[in-house]
Amino acid sequence: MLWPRLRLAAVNGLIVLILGAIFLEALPQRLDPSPPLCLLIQPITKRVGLDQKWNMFSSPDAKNTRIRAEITYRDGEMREWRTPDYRKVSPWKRFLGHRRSEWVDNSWGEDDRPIWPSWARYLARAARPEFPEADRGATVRIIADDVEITIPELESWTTWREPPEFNESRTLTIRKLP
Amino acid sequence: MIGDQQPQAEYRLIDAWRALARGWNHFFHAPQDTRVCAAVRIGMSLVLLVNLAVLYPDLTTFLTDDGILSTDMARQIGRPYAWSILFWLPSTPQVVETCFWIYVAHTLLLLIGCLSRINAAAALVWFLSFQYRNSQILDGEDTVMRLVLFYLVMMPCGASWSVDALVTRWLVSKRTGKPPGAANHLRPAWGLRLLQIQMAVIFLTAALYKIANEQWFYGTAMYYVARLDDYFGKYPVPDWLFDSPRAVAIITWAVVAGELLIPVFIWFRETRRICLLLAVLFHLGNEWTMHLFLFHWVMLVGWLSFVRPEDFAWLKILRTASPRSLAPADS
Repeated sequence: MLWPRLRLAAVNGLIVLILGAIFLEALPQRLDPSPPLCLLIQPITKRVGLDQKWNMFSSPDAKNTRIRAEITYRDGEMREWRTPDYRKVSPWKRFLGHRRSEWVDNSWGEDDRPIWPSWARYLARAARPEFPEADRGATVRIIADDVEITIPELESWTTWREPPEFNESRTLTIRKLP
Repeated sequence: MIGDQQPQAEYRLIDAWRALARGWNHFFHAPQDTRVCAAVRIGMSLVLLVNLAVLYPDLTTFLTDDGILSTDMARQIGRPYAWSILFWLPSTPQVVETCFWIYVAHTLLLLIGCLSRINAAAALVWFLSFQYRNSQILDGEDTVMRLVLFYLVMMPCGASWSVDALVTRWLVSKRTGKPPGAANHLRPAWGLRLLQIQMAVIFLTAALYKIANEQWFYGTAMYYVARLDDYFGKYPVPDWLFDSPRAVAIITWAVVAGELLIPVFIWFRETRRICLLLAVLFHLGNEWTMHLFLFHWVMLVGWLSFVRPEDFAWLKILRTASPRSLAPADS
């Protein structure tokens, strides 16, 4: 009789721990004045795979962004790489290229600055695969093109079908590769 | 005498505790239909295989030192808690490809239900390893896949519709010397309960985040979402749905209402089916309009945890009403 009771108690203890982790991880928390509770349990939740945050589209972006890169090689040749015009790509190709889109989407923010050198190196190699050691001595300029989504006025709404016209450019980084 | 009885205005702490414990044990440990766990296992394995097939052509690009992100940088991004088997192995295309095929093998074994929970655990280990090797290519569906795999480890996902179940029945029949009887699909499944709670939490917290934002509060959020051209416009939709302020406000508030109400009312017998139907419509509607890879499909796998076998009784009716069964007996 003792063993089943102990087993039940152990399982219930585990359930309580998992439920606690789910709620502490998922519930919206303020970042100040003290660190949110989810940070305290992340040594465990990140390791076992229970970390989570469900704020997707809670604050939709108010601009569209495309990324491009201008690459100048050590022999003076230039190449350009750019994210595709998403409206012209079929759903199937978008599906297959999902991980590449996610890379771009997750890599152009200020917080992602540390990965830009390796991204620049990859772009230099990928844009000219036939050129040996293409990244050596290349200069890569990564640029973000933006367009603000018009604020919705009650009288004149732009149609969602209207393609965005990118009217602002900002250089994220210029990398001279060793 | 009735007049002499004192109204029970107070409860004893011990009685409340016992009632709570009874309710808890009934909720988490009462037998569940393990075919539901099997459906989640099969659905999750299929989603995982599609995910792996899409990743395969880019293995070298995303997961090796020959690609876009070195192992050292991946460690730095994931510090201090990220871990990966790929951190400890040479970061070459051959090694990563070998790991990939081992991962596929575990997923296939999970699909057919061979040592189901062990293979669910192995698939989770590989999933985390691949995820932390390059966290720059992840999105919401990766979190849901990881969580469903986690709960699969905790539930009797191989007790029905599996090689495990066939082997167990064969062993029992061999031991008892009797032919195998009808399969028993009832077993405690607290892991399934945890998955159900997780699904409700996903919707509820998504709604809580949204209602704190003025674009959702004032009904314009879907205006912005429909104009994000890297997400929206997968298949055709009528213009007026996203170009008219009233329609956009209704859709915006309907999303928040659905995310708030479904996780509450899905627990009740009277409203469970309508909530499931609304969740399916919500995900399929989103899938039609937006490019979100496998997010909605893995969410549907998660919602399967609320399905009961009797929900498919209409399939039996259809089968009995099929042309063959309707044909005259002498034909």
